[in-house]
Amino acid sequence: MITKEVDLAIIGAGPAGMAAAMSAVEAGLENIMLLERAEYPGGLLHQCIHNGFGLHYFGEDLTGPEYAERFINQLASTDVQLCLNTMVTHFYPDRSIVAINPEWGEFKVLPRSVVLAMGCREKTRFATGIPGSRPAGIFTAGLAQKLVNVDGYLPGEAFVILGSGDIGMIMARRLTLEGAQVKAVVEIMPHVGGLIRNEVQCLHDFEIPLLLEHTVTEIYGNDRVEGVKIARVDKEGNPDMKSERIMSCDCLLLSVGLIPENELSVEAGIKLDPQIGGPIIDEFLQTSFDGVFAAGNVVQVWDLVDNVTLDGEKTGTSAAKYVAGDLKKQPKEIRVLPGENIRTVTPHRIVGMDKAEIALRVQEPMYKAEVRVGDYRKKYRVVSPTEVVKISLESSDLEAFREAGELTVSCYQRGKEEEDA
Amino acid sequence: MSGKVNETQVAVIGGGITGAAIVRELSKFKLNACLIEKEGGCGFGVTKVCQGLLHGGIAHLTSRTVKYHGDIPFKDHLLRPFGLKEKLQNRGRDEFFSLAHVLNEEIIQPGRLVLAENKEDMEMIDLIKGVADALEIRGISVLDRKGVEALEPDVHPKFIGGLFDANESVVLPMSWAIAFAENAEQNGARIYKETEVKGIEEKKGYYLIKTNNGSFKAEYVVNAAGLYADEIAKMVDTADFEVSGWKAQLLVMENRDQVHHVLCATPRPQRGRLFIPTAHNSLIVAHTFEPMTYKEDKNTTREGVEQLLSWLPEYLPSVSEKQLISSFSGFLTFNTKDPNDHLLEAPKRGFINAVVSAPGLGPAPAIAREIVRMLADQGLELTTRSDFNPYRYKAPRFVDLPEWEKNALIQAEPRYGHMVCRCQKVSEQEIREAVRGGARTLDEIKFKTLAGFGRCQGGFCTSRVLKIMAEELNVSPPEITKRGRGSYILKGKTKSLGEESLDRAAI
Repeated sequence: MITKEVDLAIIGAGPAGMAAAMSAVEAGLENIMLLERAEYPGGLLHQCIHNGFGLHYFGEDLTGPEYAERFINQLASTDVQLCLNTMVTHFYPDRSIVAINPEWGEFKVLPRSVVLAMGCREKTRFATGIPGSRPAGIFTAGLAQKLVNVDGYLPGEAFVILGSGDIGMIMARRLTLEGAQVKAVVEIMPHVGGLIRNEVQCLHDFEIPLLLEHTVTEIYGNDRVEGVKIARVDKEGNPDMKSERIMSCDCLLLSVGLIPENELSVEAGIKLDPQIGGPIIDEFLQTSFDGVFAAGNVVQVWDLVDNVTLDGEKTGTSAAKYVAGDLKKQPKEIRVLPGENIRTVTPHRIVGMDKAEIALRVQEPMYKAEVRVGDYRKKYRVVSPTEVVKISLESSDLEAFREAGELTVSCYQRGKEEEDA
Repeated sequence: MSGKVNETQVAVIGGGITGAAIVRELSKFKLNACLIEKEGGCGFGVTKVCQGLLHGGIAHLTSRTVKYHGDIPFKDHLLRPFGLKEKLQNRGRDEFFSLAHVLNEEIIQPGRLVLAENKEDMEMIDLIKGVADALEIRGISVLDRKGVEALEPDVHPKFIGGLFDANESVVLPMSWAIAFAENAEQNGARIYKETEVKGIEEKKGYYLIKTNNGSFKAEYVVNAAGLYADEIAKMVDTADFEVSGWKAQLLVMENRDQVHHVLCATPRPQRGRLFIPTAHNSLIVAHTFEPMTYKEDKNTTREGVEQLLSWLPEYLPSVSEKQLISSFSGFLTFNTKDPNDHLLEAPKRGFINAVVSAPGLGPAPAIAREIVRMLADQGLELTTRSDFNPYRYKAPRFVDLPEWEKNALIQAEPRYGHMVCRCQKVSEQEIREAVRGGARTLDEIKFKTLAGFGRCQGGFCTSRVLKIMAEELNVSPPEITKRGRGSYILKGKTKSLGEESLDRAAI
């Protein structure tokens, strides 16, 4: 078996993996291997032919392929070894990796550090438990996006889209532009699952019906989807069967959420956050294994690719520091806990002396919000569960928590408390 | 209807596990046989949605327990000697083991663990063990809590003991139906898919079978049409039975190394709960028990799925609802003439009913032999073919091979090194070989190679598999269906919608 020794092995050449590679190069690492199962680098950006990428990172409005191309070009000018058509099949606790590709066969990688950048996958019909028949014509929104945008095929002509995640809303617009009919986007929550800008630009601007607090309760059709049953849901999300009605369609798209893809992490024994589904990390994005870092959607499903890139850059720098023996940890860590109106918060622990960046998602939308950590305050006009909020805590902010060993991140409404006072 | 007439000696109607096993058995002899299947592939009916167990040993007794209605004392009911149905089951099961190697199909023997919750359960288990000894069923042992834990550390702490039967085995039924049919085809039998029998006319010395795909002139007809066997029998006025059954809903969960043996509760009359680990890291939860309302009722229901999920915390607290991959529903069929036995009979000269009652998977190879014997009784001349090739070629499941073998294969064919399905780790070449072996639909690929079987349910590989299939078959991807007939996957090329009306406007 061919064995490759490298300083850094990155699993996945999507936006996180490419950014990790670039920043590791900049930090001085030389022997870097980037492993990618697809036939090209860039991950899912290739099928995201709409715009809106790079507004934060580049200050420009790019399409997905354009955004990917910038990193692909940068990579081409480095010595990073890019292995395409390469599937990592095993990842072991000693950090060794087994992979397969047509050129080297099954081979082994012995890396001094690893960045996990496997991204995420879409939830399926069954993760949502929709009963009924099992005809052709049920696709996840991302698969439909690949079929339409990359392969050039339409999966149907009359669509119902369940879930208003970003891909679902973007596909609603895409399919409308293709001449297909989007009968409705059906969302179980009282608000859309994706970005507000997508609700406006993809649904409202194209007059696509959005049914909030509704769900699909059954699928019809023997050979091919012939229709779905739709019902209103109560506050607990239970469908009201009396409100059921049939909507005919030949295709059901699912945009019901994304799951970090962590089968390799689990195989190695890396500890995961059961709620988010990604590895438990510190502010260097190091996992529960020394020298193994995780970036992007494999840790948590981000709202914007710009954030994924920033995450990736952090791991590249951290990995370079780790290999050089410069990644300094404190004997006592600070655990980071979610408080009032916080759904998720990362990193899970702060182990270093310097400042730490914290990313959070709120539980409920809130106007005039204020994020608090001890005496630290940051005000927002509005926060929404669909958008990640980032705060940066200086070393001085963290000082107060070193003794207790934990800190709590909360989000309150400003006006309310002022009134109370 | 096409006017083409195919001549054949024996026409087998129905390509489920039974019909496929029969046509393979026939292909051992110097004769002309064909298989007529209405679906896009073999095993797409009841076979596909069956739980995949090859019962041996204790299952006969648990099945007798579940079916006990109180007509005779319970122990006497259990102690009845094995009938023909159970004997066929045992013989068929043994044949599966000898065929696994030649047909290149998988079979695992995890054994079955019957779990006991309380004293009454343990008494039932002791009773069953006693009966098993009397009936000379081997490989059975009674376990205490420690013994149960040693086998299955994840079962609920409430179980105080159990009974282990080493015989229970698991297969993927549809892939076996495909294997039987493909091997028959290699040996000269003809397989007609998407061919639905519309009527049968009795002529002098032969039957004329009319289908959507031409007519068949057959000296002998075997009716192995499963759920629809009564309707086929009706066509020659021999239907003194109906095929009925129970609908059963099942779940497929991801098995994160949590369940290693087939698990079931201590059997009680009218109760059956099963947890079945498959060869490919999934766990089947079986099954609800509902009346069958109509024959195409393959729907799952919210109530059914919820009921099945509710068993998990009672049996396997570590298995989370989040591990749900898929749900489906199947049928436990029986014929109304003798609901407790298979109906293997020749109601007319040259016309044989091969109507099985659940479980029909295990006995299939034995029933096939039985049917061929009956055909001989009807006058079919059987001369063994010296060139019969029992071996069916199928690409190896690449990811399970040892390293040196993987690398030798990749060197010879680099497409083995190109992984297409990430969940089940299936290579491009395995897809190509599956098509070359006869697969035409996405579901056949799924069951032959496991691509699309995993947790993402084809989200990643579907577009890749379609492309490879289209290339192999020299068609465009929209021509490929999920399982034949109207189950198209792609509507057409982008920018093609409305083309017709544009053309009309131009005129």
